[in-house]
Amino acid sequence: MPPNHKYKNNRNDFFVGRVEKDVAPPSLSGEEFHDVVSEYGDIMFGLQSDKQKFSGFGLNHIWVKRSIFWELPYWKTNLLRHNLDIMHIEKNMFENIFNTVMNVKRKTKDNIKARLDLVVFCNRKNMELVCDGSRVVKPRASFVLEKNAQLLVYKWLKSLRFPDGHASNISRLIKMEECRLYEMKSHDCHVFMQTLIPLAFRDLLPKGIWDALTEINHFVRDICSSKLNVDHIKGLKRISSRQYANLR
Amino acid sequence: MIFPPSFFDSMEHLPVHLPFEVKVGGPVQYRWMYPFERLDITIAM
Repeated sequence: MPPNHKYKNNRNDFFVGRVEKDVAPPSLSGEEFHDVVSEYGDIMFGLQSDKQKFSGFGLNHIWVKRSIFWELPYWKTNLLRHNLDIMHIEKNMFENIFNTVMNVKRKTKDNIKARLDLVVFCNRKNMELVCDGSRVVKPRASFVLEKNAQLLVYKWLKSLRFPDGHASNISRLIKMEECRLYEMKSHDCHVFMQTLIPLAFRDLLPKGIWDALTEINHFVRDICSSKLNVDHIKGLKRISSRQYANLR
Repeated sequence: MIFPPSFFDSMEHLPVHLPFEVKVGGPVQYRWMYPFERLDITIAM
């Protein structure tokens, strides 16, 4: 996030009364990291060790162990020490987004506890729980589809046909009577994130939310493209942090 | 300002790092897990 972005001065929508002035922490190179990590000694694990912790735990850091990879002589010169797998990221993002938007029971991230947190941290009056006599009502959030809109999406998914080998037969995964989508393989999630997200929720979600979801769709498509352009990647970096803030 | 804070677990943060990984490591197709996940089926059989 650039320091002059308008979200940086936003006092109301993220955390109430707090303006985020800090910039992102500097990304350390492997050598610098090695210096930091080697300051902490070794830790014994197992029953004989009486629960040792590195000094400064909870204050300066929350590290509980030093990865044994640091003992490899070349580890500190690796540019990319850990490879984030887009497959799992896409799968989890898909599940979170889909289950929240479709308000799937026990899977949605917009649950009662989330609403209780909102009262503490945010200032979003239209999403707080409402006491109605002896009942507590959870008002529908703007990003959650109405029941008939959900049905429309499921019906549309039911009628989908893909080219052979493109994805598994998604229509088979829909249980219409329960209104649920079961057994998505991670590659189906990949296909959904890459192509279907903007189509599925078009005209059903409010414009701003649909825009944000579509931006995610474009982002994963660009990231997964087989031809990459260095300038384009620099742009992507900016976009990814903006999306994150947009959704937040 | 769409989703509530609890939506954002660590998984939603990871895409922020992806552009750097693509820059350093090249196209994702060479680094993703799909072929190995398929191989798991073969091994299990």
